[in-house]
Amino acid sequence: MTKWVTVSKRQRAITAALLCAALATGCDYNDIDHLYIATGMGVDRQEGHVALSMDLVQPGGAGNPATGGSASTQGNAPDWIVSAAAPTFEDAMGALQAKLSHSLYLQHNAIVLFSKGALRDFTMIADALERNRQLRRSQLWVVTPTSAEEVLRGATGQSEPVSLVIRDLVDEASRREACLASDELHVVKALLRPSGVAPLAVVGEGPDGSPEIEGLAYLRRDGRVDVVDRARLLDNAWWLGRTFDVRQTVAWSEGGRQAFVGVHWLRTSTRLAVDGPRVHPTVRVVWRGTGEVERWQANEKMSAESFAGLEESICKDVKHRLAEALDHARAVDMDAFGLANACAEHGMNLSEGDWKRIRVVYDIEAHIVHGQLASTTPFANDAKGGGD
Amino acid sequence: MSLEQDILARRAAEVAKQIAKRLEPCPDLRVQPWSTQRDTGVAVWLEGLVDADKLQEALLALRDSGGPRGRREIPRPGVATEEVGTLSAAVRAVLDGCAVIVRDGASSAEAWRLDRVPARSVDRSENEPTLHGPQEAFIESLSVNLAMVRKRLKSPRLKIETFTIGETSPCQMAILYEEGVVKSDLLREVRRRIAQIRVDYVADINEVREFINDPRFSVFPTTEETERPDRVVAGLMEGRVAMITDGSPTCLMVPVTFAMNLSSPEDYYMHYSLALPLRLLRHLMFWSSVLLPALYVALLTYNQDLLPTPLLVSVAAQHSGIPFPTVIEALGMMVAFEALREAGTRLPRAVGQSVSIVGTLVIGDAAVRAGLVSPGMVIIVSATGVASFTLPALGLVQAARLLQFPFVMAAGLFGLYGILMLGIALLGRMASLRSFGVPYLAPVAPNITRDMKDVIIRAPWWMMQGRPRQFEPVERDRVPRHTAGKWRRGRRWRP
Repeated sequence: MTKWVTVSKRQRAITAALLCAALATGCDYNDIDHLYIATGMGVDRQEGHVALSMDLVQPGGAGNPATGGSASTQGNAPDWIVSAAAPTFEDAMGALQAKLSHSLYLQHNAIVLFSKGALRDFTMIADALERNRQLRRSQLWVVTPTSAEEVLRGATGQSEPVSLVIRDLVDEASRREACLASDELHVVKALLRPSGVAPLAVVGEGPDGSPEIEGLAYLRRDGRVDVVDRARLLDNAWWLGRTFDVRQTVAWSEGGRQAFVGVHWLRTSTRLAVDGPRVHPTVRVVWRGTGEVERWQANEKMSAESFAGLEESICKDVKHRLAEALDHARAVDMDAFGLANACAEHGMNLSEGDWKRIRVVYDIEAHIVHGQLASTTPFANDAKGGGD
Repeated sequence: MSLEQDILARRAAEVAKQIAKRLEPCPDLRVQPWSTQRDTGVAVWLEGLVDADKLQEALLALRDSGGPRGRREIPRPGVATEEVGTLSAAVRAVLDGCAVIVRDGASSAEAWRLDRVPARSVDRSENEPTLHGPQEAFIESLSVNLAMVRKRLKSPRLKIETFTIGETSPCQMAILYEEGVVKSDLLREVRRRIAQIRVDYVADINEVREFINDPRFSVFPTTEETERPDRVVAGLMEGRVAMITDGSPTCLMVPVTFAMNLSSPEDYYMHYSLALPLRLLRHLMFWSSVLLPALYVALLTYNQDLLPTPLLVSVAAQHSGIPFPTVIEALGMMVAFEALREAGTRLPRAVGQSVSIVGTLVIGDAAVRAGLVSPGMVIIVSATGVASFTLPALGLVQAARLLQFPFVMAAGLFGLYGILMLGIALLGRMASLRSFGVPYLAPVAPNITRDMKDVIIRAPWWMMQGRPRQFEPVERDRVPRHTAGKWRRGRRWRP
């Protein structure tokens, strides 16, 4: 009996403690009906003010399986944009909330779209974003050369909120060029490293107003931004890590004539190795790629000799592209490819600007698999002769 | 009337009159005089409970034989007799379906068991159907039920003890066990608890269950209820005790553990490799039937960040325009579902099925169209119901049905914290439960590694040579070890 009473008392005490623990944690009752679910945030700079644009889910809109409907219907869009401007980020958030009849729910915010101008106040904005405990650390940070609000408002006819479209665009692109996966954690981590530069995906408005990937931007800790357009995206992506399933056109001199070869890179990887003495280190860029020749525009059939020549041309082209990208980075004074980071990992802490004087050598090995495509399609013969 | 005064009167007609007086008004009481060359007397019985043809045959045989001549009278062929010494015993015998034969001048009477109690024939199991294995189920007759067990367990060590419970309407109850296997303490405890039952009458063995249960207040079944003789036999061979009452088609088995409630007889009849996914599924379904609505409520009211964004958007779209908070919506739907289930059970089978289908399809669809509930909630509540249907033990189904309500309320009040808190309390409670001394969560807690081969998995029969240790059987091995060893060696033979 005494044992039973003791157990009973203990159970009651444990139950009471658990109840108190639950109450102490603060249970925020937020029924789903009383929330405005934000899927994206646009940050602009307007006359010294921070302008925020929130992409909010419109539950009854198009693209929702529950409601059906067509996105083309006026006023039946899957999302709607609310904007507000204020001197500080926090004030702008307050102003936004003041326009909304329900709580702003930020836990599902998928992207933060910065305009190039807004990044001038990057430190302040990043600080505010980092402090906001409602925001996930996995949200994508994306840059637009124009206005974030315009990009968010410009998209029509989408079946899902425009922010999710942008997120999917970036996700898909980063499947090929891994450096485009610019989620907040990676960006902040990159900014805190010795190079102090982080790559971000650049999104702009396409001809029909829908968002599209326009390239890559380098963001420096002090807010300086350098945008790399799509034509130079591959060169930079090679520097920044792995790529999968990308294509490159290589100019090939054959018999005194210029021809072009399409190379499909199945996968490439780049790593930096630091050699040499501590005072004058040498960074070796180890580039490895496996690809196949998809199409060649030359008269002759491929021979072992011409194939070796082709491989050599491809390696030269890769080296040339990497060198060009590095020259550009040096020109804009951004250690975009982390040379300082590589040295720091080997215990060499460089002074500011020293990374530009580091000697860089290229170790490039391209493994080309002869593609079956061009030689087996019924149009192969025409394709081979197309270079004349 | 005291027992001393309750001695049968010397005159048979007077005895018959006193029996009738005790039972009146009693239009179905029959009194028939009989006589032989030496004796006269009366036969008293209740019409409908006694096979009249057999009685007349027996009375004719009595007349031809010369009549009862004392206490040691040889019974008539085909008639079981019992001596009745008091008027009360005579009345009880009449009510029990016996014909009481009273002789003039005798100090005692004879009760002839010629009962023809209405009973149905043996049929298929309705509550525990299986695709494989035996199909017959118990009926409401104790003797038939005992015979069904005897038929399957032809062991001289099968022992049957009978008890009488019920003060006003005595009812026969039998406990069955395999001598030499069952733990003696368990048997003693079963006897003690049955002896302590004080009740005026027993309509079904489930009434007995509440008297002998370990926890006075618990939703979890701590006795196993079955209507399948094969399951009873399997339990007896594990060292458990079975209880059957007259008039009930159900047998109780003790002790029982939580894991046993999630095993079906079919697990043992199908290939062992199939039992694993099915048992895993049942475990998953049990917790789904308890937690699914609660998790849905918690995710929609507190922890929306745990949902993937497209799913959240979809759910938000479904929920827009619903006039009730999610927790009220869930509780309302669950009550409606329970009402439909109850209606389907209570109504005649043909109508009941129609009610279930109409309720599910029409009313559910209408409620969604009317904007009273969201489609997601209908799916969740229906899925919960379907999950509970997969559980083989009815007691566990009822426990799950009850438990889902407090879990939903906890989720509505505290979100996932509430579910966690209640879950911890529930697990604590389950761990503290005992079924006739056996921990309810055995063999998981306490861990009995040997018995784990029949919890989530069902090991092949050749691996289950030992009886479950959790019941502490006297004989631990099903077959002597040297026999098992020989058999294992035989398996290595190759042609």
